[in-house]
Amino acid sequence: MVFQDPFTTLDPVRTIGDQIKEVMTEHGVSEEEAERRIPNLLESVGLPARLAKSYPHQLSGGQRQRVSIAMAVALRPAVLVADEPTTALDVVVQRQIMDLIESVRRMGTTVILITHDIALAAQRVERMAVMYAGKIVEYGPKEEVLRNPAHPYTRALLNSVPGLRVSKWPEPIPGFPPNLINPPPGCRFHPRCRHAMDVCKREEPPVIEVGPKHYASCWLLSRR
Amino acid sequence: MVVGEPVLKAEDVAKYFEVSAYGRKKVVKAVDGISISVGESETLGIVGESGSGKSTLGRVVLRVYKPTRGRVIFKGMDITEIPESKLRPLRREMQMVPQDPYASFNPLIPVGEALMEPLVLHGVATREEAREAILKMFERVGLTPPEEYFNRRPHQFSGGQLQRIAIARAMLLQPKLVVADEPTSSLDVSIRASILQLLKEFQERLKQAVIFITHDLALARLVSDRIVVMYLGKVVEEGPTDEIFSNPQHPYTLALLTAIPTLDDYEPPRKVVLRGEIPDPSKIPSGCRLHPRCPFAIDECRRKEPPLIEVRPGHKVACHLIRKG
Repeated sequence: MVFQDPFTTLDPVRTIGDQIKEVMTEHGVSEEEAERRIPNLLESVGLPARLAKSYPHQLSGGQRQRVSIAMAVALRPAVLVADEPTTALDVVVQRQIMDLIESVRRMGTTVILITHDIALAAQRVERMAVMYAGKIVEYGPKEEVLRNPAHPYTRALLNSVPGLRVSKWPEPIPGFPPNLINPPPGCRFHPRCRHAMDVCKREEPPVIEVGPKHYASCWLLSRR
Repeated sequence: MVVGEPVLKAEDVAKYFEVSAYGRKKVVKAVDGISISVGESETLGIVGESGSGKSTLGRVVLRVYKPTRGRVIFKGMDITEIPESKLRPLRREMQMVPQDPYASFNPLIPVGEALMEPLVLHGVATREEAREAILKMFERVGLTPPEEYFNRRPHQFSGGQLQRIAIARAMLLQPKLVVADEPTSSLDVSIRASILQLLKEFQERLKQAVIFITHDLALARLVSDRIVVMYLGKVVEEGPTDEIFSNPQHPYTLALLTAIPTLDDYEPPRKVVLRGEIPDPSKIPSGCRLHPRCPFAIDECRRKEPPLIEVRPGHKVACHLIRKG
């Protein structure tokens, strides 16, 4: 797992090398073997091997996030969950870190990228699931979801992001994100949906296949 | 105020901070010689990464910080050196919209009370009049019925609602200059647009000069008439918004435009990828500050700081590789 905030995931009073080593020894790798692997591991995430002797405060945000990735891939996992891995970083560094995660993926690790930035997801993923208030509202191949968004929330989300090519005012989604202690009944998006019908207020919408391997959960799509 | 005079002008302003770390003194040159101006009804976008000095610049032009050098001129009046007592009546006309509204309110005081204080302090209104004005303003920023919100404390609001209160607070005194420092960065994507819309409405009605500070180029494109790109306390490029996106010149601007993910098919005229990260502002590189990260750096870049040169009307670039014309 790669976490959102590289400033709080590392122990401030222990060296980088020590912390990476612990990840491995905790999972049964011998101390010598772990120490032997650290230089390569650091280099594989674009850090000089000598950083193993450094403490977190001596590293920049991007370097710390590289360390978190090194720790996450130390045991060659089958799946890497990256939870907003670049939210705390600037765009130039964001690109560097996303490229690094991409290279981890190319070596055969499945990557689950969690992000609020739909433009970032559009650039980096193959399939995407759009979540709203604890439910997946739409799911499918990236191109399908972006080109033919079926759920009103996905469409609203795409329209709420300003672009670079032209200066087009984004459309706000009315209302506020819901309180999850007491989510709205029926479709959880209905209080903010301009197409909401009676049934949306009462019953949870079914999951409907709207295209090849492309699913959305909305009453508007159901023929009944 | 002279007609045609910008609302705010900063001439070659710099702000240095002395910090001591582990007993050693360091000088952080957060802003290091910047000139900007912004006129009535105009929005100037200030773009840069964290550590570029953009927020410090915002605080210098509001005279929250006194600049280390340079001059700040508000409505034709030099306010660089004037004492706090003379500054106070001017502060009404210059307001700030913060990045994190929760950090900008006292958590213990009901927001209505908090907003009343400046009105009474500036001698603009009695408590009764102030309450009236605040309720009206709450309504205007979309918090209805306003009475319901007056006695609530900050934690009882969502981020978007509290940002509306922060905007209400800034607009109560009808400022001529508004500095909005990442006003939507802490908010959910779905409500950012409505906050921008609200700021724009106030700007149009009060003909405000707005300085919009952001790290988000797409946002800057949306709201700004002109854009200034900052790197380590210096302006690297500035120009009319469309020009910055259609004809960016500085490697740093190109790198930002290359790195930003976008849903449309925008591509900068040239792709530029930078090495490494923005350095600590207490260790500013010699010559051009970008040279250690710049793929095009030549010897001159290490030795000499490049001047800001006008390449087209209103479009200026500070790079040794770019010549006039």
